Amino acid sequence: MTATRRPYKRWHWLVYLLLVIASVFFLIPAYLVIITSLKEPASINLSTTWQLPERWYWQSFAEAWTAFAPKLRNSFTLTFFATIISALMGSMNGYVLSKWRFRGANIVFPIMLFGMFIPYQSILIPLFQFMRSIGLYGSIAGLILTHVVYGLPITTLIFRNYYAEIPDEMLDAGKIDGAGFFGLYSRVLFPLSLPGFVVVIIWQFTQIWNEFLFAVTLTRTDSQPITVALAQLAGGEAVKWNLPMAGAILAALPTLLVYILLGRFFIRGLLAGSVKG
Amino acid sequence: MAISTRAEPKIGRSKSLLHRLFNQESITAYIFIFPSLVGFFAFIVLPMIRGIQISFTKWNLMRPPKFIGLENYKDAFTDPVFWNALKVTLEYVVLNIPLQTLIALFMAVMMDRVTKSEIVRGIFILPYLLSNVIVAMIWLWLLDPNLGFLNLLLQQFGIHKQAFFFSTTQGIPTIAAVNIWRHMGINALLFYAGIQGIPKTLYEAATIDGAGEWGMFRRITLPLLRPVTVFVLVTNVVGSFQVFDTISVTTGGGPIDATRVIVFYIVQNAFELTKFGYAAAMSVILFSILIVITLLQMRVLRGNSSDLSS
Repeated sequence: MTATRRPYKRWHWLVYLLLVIASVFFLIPAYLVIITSLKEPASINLSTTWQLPERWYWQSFAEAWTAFAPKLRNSFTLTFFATIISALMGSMNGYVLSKWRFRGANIVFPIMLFGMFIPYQSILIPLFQFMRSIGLYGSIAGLILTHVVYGLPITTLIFRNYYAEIPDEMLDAGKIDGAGFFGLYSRVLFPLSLPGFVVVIIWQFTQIWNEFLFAVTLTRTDSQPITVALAQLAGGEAVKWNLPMAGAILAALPTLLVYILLGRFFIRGLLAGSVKG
Repeated sequence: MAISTRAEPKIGRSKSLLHRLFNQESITAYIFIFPSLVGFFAFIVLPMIRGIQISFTKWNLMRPPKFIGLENYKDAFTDPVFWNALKVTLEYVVLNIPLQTLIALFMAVMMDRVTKSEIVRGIFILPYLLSNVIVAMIWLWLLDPNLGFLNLLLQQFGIHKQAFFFSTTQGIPTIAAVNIWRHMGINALLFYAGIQGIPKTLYEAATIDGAGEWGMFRRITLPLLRPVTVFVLVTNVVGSFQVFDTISVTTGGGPIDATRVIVFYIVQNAFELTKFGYAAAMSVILFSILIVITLLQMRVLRGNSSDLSS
């Protein structure tokens, strides 16, 4: 391939405009949240909102940690298991749907994709009823199951597109070596799947960690994820904002960390066309 | 034909039909995807059917559901709050989608043509990593009618304090703005990924023909981006109709019913008023609306065909 298109020089000043917009819209709120979380409640004052705290006050984080540690633990359990399970199942589905022709394959895939466009709200009430009837209402296990199933369409789609790019000849080579249905998956495809897994894991992790509607309707107090606890805190009148802001930072850290560690692979995966309609 | 694997297309062709239908590989394939299929039926297909059933009943958790026919649907059609909820939701979608899509498209082209900086892309995606709940909290604080930072700024420019979330006229636009703030980066990134998939030779040929930036955008980028645009639009429209999180954290549907959108009203009816039958009926109505809109969008945008192959 020839070189990429040259950047449009006459628009060069736009780079600066773009950066200014980016910082005004995104970085200033982030700055305000961080400094407010580090201020003493008594020193929080509208007219000095944008100023750095006179004294760094870490107490809000300690308080937020005491208040939210159990909820954060719930969120971790929920997100960890739901992400891993839906990623593994999506990978197996993707393998079957991209590399095997079997009777009904043409029906199975569109049905699964259809699940991607199902509006959550339309099954909320029957799902609540179903959870109650199988005794999983209010439990983290129930929420994990729900997120696994609702994650499957997107994880299956991503892996199917990803595996479609892997040449069939590689599987043929595996077959000659005597690998069977599962052997081809575990010995040939799975080791090549890391980039696919990175995209799927980041996607699922952020979706599930941040989800609110199922979390608020399908859990009880002791199984609440962090989003529900935070939402309740925000509702209180005349709150001192240092505590909610510290809580917000604690709740945001896991997704930010995952993204900082794996983000570059995520964008690369996106660019490689893993997420396409 | 249908059963042979791509990996091994030639073996097995001579076997009997019955053998081919139920060959071992086909069965193994189904064993592999069986758990997903079970989950799919238990959590998606069955609930959808049950949802329709519940919508024909009166059910408040105290007593078993009682069949009342179309009563819930009749109630919905005569319920002014339900109609208002639909109206307010539509308002939100109309404010949200075009602006969000245009901004994202603009950002994507900028990211492609002006700077390929990873830092810029990293900053743009930042808000999407935060949950709706956190984003709503932050903006609830920044846009507070009395103690908000933005009102402080406005006053310094001689503009009166605004109520933002807590105004009957500004409530929905504010919630739409917050949503645009969170989603424009991820949408821009999806568009950007789509643009990277367009063959560079097309642009080279167009440059030789003397086409300008705008001409290339209109004639090459936009048409070839259509599959991505359809994906972004359809998911965003369906998502916007279900706006819930931001409202739950900020306005709680108020002031009066100004931001009582349809999903918030459904959840309130179900989980606060325990009118599950009525809530299910409204869910069914919303679901039907969403199906029609999605099909219309697919039809108008011809979603499943790419201009590249045509």
